[in-house]
Amino acid sequence: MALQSPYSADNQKLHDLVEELADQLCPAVDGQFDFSVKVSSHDESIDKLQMLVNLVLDSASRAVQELRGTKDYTENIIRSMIDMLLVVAPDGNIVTANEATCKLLGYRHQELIGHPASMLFCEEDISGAIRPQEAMLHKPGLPSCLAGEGSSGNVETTLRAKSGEEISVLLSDSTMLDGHGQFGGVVCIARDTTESRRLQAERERFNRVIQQSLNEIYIFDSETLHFVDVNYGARKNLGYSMAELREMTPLSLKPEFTAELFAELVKPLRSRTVQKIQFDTIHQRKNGSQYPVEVHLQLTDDHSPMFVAIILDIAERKAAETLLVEAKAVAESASAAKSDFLANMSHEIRTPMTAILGFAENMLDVEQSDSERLNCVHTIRRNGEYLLCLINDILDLSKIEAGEMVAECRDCHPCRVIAEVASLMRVPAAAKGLLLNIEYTGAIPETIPSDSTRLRQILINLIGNAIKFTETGTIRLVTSLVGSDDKPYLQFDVIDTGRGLTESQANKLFQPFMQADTSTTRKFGGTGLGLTISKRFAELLGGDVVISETELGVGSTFRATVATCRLDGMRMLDDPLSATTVPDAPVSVAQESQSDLQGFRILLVEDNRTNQALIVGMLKKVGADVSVEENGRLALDRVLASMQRTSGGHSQPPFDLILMDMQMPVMDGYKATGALRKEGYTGPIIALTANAMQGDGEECLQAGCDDYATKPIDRKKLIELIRRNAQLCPSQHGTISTGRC
Amino acid sequence: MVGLIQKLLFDLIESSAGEEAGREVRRRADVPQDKEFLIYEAYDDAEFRRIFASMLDVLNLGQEEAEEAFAAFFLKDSEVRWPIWFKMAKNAREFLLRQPRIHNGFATSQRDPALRAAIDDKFEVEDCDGEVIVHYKSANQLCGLYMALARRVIIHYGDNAVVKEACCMKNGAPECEIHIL
Repeated sequence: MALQSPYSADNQKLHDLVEELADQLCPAVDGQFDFSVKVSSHDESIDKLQMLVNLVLDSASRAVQELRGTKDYTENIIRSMIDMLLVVAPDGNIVTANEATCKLLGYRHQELIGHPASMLFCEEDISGAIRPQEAMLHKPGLPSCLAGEGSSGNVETTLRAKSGEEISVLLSDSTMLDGHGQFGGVVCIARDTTESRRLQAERERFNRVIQQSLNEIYIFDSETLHFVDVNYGARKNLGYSMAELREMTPLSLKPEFTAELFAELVKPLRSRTVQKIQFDTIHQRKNGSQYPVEVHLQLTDDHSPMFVAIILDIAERKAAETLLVEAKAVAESASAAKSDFLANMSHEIRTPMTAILGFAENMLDVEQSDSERLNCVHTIRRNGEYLLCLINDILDLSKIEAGEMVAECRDCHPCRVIAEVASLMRVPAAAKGLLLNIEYTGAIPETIPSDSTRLRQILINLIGNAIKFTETGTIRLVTSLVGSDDKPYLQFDVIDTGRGLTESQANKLFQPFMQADTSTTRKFGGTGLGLTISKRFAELLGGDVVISETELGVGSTFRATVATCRLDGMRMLDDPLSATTVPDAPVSVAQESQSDLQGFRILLVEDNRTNQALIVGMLKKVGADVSVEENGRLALDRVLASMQRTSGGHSQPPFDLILMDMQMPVMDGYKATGALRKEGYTGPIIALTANAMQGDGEECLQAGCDDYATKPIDRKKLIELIRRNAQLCPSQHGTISTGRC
Repeated sequence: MVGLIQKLLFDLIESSAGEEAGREVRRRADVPQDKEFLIYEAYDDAEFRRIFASMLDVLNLGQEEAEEAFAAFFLKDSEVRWPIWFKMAKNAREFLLRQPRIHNGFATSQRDPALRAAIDDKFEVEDCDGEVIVHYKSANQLCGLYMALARRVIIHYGDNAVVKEACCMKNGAPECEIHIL
């Protein structure tokens, strides 16, 4: 409905124009000014008014657009800020917080706006000191870092995230004044330094590692080649300071290098055809000394390329390589020697074996006379003994090389050993028409703590060699006490008038598997291991075996030494030669008493029928009463049954001694011995084992045996062993073995 | 060009030479006899130039003479039509510094950017230590009219100032530069 007008027609028209103008202005109620008004008045006053209204609208529109632009611009700046922006009002509450703040602290925008800023600061940052602004804010809890006038500059502080996590920040704040020049709040900008601190710590750690690395690390300019950085390890090794190095290039360290050579070397790096090059060269220290190095060089790929070189000091490696080459040569030489040795062994084994088989074949000839057969038996026996000796030598050497040979340390009577050896060796010496003289220089201790068996073997070997390689003349064994009071030695010089040795022969004489001349093996026989074994034995006894003198065609002196330990309070023999007497000839079988083991009850546990017959024959010959069982189970049953009978009233134990083969079917000797000991059998048990290696005997003793004998069985030694153990009866378990039979 | 100029130009012609002269100018300038020029509307610059040239012929006036006459007439009209603008300025310098904004105010009725641009930004004024430097750039090349108007303003306020043109588009300059000091 139209408004009722009180105006005249002209005035009404003017009124209508004003109304129309007013209507057109209504959109301004929405804050929209981007329009103009237009009425057709034909009235200059209205036109003037219309023009001015449009001028006002235009100005308002421009102002609004400008404000919006400014607001958007400001918001974009705040939004795009990586750093946190926080505006705190005078009342201590947050009025502005950008997205970075929300993101870092884990709050939603509305959880920050209008809330106290103090909730974001850790306790230690809230100072008790109240500054003027705080008083104005009535917020004593406002963080101290926000409490200064003007700007506090950059402050390292800690903010607390919504999760409670503490976040290190670098915070700067400035006081904001309002339109009236009054305190209007605080503007804070904070940067999360957690990552930068971590990176800084990483950089520092990395730098420390680089600096402390024992490898040398160089960084040098890719154009000028001047050193930019050199780690501490390198500076220390080279002897230059960093200031000195900055004036130098790597070429200064490389006496082998020229600039042209280096340029050629790094061409592939510069062309990026390779990422890294590696080469060996020589570096020179400030003091002029040189050392070999392995260089790993690369060119960094950034706007300012640098050469990075990691230098490895390869002096030790080079030395090791040299050693390796030498060791390889030694190993190859040893391998060749081993091949030679095996060839010799083959010869040495086949020769007696041929004789044994040949003479055994001859014995089958029914037409042979008794004397011819006896001759065959002697030959077979001699060659068999030689074979056994050869095997024992190989085993001894194997044990020594494996480090398993252990010398005993008991009272050893050196003069007695010498007398025994002399008695033994005079026989073969006499057979070659040689004299064997025993001589002493000075007093000799009556006893020394040593191993008589090994000493005996050493002397027998040295004298045996002397006899072997001497055609005429005399063999002398000269014994003397040498060394200091603290470190005395017994010295045994075996002096012969034999063929002597060249220097070359002498040099390789003590090497395992090596003989002076392989051809001599064929001429003189023997395993060629004797000297090596003797030397190792002497070393076990704290001494050595050396060639003291030798001259080709004149003779040699082989010197053995053994440690005696300190001789304080030890009895000395001033006339050792007359102090000991030993029979000159070994005890013959004929001299053995037939009744040595007369009535001695022995249980032989052996599965091999031949060995059964052999051992039974040996033992019966000396009067023993021998029973036989084929395996451990039968033996165990038999002994236990006898023991039960014994405990049931019989006065005597079932057997005086058990000979126990260790490898048997059904139940082996180890288990049988263990079971016997467990059941209370205390009589002596001697193990019979074909395993002659180190540790086998100990295993037998651990199983409960009192002693052990190694196959093939030596009759005399077995009887001696039985006799010795029979005297110990009842069994004394744990007695140290005196060695294998 | 804003219609106020054309309107006042025809008012000048008719008041000084009669209505027939006005019709003759319209005829020569190819302007419809019944066309009314509104003070806030924008009109074609070429049409204005035809009117001005026709006026010179019909009234037998030289360029400068016509500009001086129009300036006097224009200022007299303005003093009546827009007295407040004169009151807003304490002197000619203040008035002349505001003049571009008043000029551009006539363009605010135009929402068409092209038409608005035809009015806007023809003037740019600098205040250099008391000297007013006006940069004028228009195809109409009415720098003479502006200088005449400026002198009239100076006279209105009773000030003592000299108006000089340092360079002119008519002489090939990219803009006219007028110094009032």
